[in-house]
Amino acid sequence: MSNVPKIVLKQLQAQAGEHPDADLLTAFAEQALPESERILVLSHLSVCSDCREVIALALPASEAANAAVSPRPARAGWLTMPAFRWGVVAAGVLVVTSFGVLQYRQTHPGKEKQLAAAVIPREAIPSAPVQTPAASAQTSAAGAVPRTEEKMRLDKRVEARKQFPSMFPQSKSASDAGASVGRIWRPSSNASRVSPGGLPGSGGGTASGSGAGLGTNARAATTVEAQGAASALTTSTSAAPVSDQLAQNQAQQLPSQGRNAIDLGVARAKDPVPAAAAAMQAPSVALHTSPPLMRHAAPRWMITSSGGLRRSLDAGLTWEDVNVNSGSIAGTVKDASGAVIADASVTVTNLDTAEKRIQSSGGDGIFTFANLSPGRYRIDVEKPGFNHLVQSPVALAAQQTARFDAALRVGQVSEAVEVASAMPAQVETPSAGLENMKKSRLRQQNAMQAKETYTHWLATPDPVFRALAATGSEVWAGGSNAVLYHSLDAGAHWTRVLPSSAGTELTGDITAVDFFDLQHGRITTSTPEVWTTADDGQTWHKQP
Amino acid sequence: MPVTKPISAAVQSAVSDLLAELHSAGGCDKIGLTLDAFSIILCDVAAKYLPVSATDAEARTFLLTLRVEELALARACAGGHNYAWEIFLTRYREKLYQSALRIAREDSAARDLADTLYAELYGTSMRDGERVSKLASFTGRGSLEGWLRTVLAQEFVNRYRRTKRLVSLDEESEDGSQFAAPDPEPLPSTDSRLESATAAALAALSAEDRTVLASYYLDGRTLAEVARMLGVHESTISRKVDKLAKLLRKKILASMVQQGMDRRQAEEALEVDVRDLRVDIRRSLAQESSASPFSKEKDKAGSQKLEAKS
Repeated sequence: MSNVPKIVLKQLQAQAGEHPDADLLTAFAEQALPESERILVLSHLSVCSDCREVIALALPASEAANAAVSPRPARAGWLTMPAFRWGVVAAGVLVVTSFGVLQYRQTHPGKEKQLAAAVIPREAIPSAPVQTPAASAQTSAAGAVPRTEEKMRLDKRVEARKQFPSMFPQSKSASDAGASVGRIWRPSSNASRVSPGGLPGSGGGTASGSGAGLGTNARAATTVEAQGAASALTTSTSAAPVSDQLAQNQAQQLPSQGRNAIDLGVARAKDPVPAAAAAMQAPSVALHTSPPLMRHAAPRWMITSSGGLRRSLDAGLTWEDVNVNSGSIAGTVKDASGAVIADASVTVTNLDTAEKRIQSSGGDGIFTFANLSPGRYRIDVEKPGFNHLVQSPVALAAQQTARFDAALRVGQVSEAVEVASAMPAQVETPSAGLENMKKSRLRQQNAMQAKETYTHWLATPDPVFRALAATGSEVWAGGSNAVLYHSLDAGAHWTRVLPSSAGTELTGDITAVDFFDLQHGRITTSTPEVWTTADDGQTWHKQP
Repeated sequence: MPVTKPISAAVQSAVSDLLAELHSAGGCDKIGLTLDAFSIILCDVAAKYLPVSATDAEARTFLLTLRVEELALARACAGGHNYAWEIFLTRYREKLYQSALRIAREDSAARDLADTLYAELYGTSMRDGERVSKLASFTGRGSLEGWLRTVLAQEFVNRYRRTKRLVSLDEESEDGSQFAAPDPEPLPSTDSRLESATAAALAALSAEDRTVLASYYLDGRTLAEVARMLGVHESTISRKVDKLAKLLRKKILASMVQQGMDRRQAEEALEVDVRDLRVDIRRSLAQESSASPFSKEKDKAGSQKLEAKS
């Protein structure tokens, strides 16, 4: 950068007259001044270092962070950007690995299954490979688990395991644990399985035959029930009850031999005939006899006649609907001085269905409403001695977490404070561009965004589920039109999974989801196709 | 707020035309601002910024670019409306403290700064027996949030920069030179021709260009900071600074040459700088002391030569 002569600086230092007021400076910094006024402010700024300082200090935060990161422009080529560098490295690793895998597969066709775990997930472009000890403990076959997300998932699972300690025996490896604990399976699932094109609900009866005589207590904690869809239509009219009984018989014949039963199941799995599918029930039913350790805390699941998902946390006494597209609303209740308020009553009301949920803020002032269906909500925060705070409407998109931090002021409870906004303040992430945008445009955008999310979820029909698999707090649910959802935390958060391998994607209706342990699972579709995974759904393989 | 300027007819008609629309857009009903009260506020604001000669159309555009909702909120707060305060605190309390922390860069100073502003916003100062809230001076030209940041920054500059720039030990050890005291010594008196040439060259620049120069060279801001202050891209500023520095030098030289200096003289005059001078003196002093024996010999040799010659 060439310098200017010192005399120029001296003359630049000349003092200015009256400072522009804070309004003008703000409007200047926000590019909201008409040209004539802008020039006036600029000519003052050119001679007033104080005002320049004020403007520089008052710049919004997010941009300050950007400026701190890149104070000078990068001069070198694009390869110097870390993202690109790591991208090149990751791409290299990917190419080498996939070549190796292809070679290996050609020479050892039989070992494909084990390899599945070692293959890098197909979207493994991101950052540096991370080798996690937890990962290697979990996946016996997986050599390298390169994704940080994967680590997070595993961490989550470890957490979940802590939450449901009774679910997990003190075994050395996770897959062992999975195998011995086994998968929860509902004996009656074949009812929905054998009616691929069927209209669920026409039968309406409770098809949950359940492993009769297998010990009611053990079953109570573990069974995943399915209601309805009992009248199997086109393909096998009376197959459901028959196969149900078959499954039970087999279960009784194979008491507590989980391993063998699983092997049997795997052996027959390649045959997509419904009868064989019935046999598939055996392992899970058999497992119902063995695990008394699953008696507590395990949520029970079922599919309603209309394909909805329901969950019971109290061994089947009460059931609640679970929306896989659910979002959550969380935040902290504080007073005007910023101190947290415990035991404030927080109510979340769905403006469309008028459904209400009430919670008290914890000792740290935090409240969390999980499993809310997308839509518009009203949040009420009440605490004796404080004003009643109302935020409405809050738009909640699918799988989104909206943050709402309530600041209560001392006052009468009867005094309602209503805060009208399209979105809670925290959702409108103030970024560099937005901050400078005129408020009206911002407001408009927020409103549009809210409307968009709203119409979006209205337009997206709820998935119709047909099959379930749950292992402890981990749940897989599959249904019509290849919908497959996965939750690691007993249904609080869901992610949609779209199995694909070698360029083909899973299509058709999912009629069965079987997970033999935390890692190994299989999906059967109406097409019919069979997909397997050996790494908890990270990668899938289509069975020939 | 006292009306300082007479309200022109154009402003009055524009305000009365748009009043209902702006009143509802500002959500004035909920925070207890009547149409009349809001009309007075709008007239005040318009009178403050618009020239008396402003046309009706200009007044309309002006009113429509105001952030009426925030303006109404601020004025309702200034009027002591409880509900308005609730909204204000919900929206800005957290942000205000965060901004203060970023400006003051230190927790206790930030708290102090934010508390001072709160006191001013609530209106602790009295005028004519009435509390005067600082929010009464907000006019909605920019966002309320930005205004709060600006007011904080002004307070900070007034309070700390004038007395002594507070530097935490961390920052000092991190980059001590950055906070070195500015050179207090005045520049030596320079050639009057140079003075006038520079003044002319600077005056020919746009206000924006001068601001860029001052921010970059005088305040020592980074290109990125300057760019953000002006809302343009960093590379634009980078090119501009380079171009301006070259242009200034060329212009000043040209005008001095025009005034009868020869080219080299002009270049020398332009480079005169007190620090350069001092460095030169020190260097030349050092040279003199080390070179003295040689120069003496040289002198001797010279005198011998002279003697021989004579």
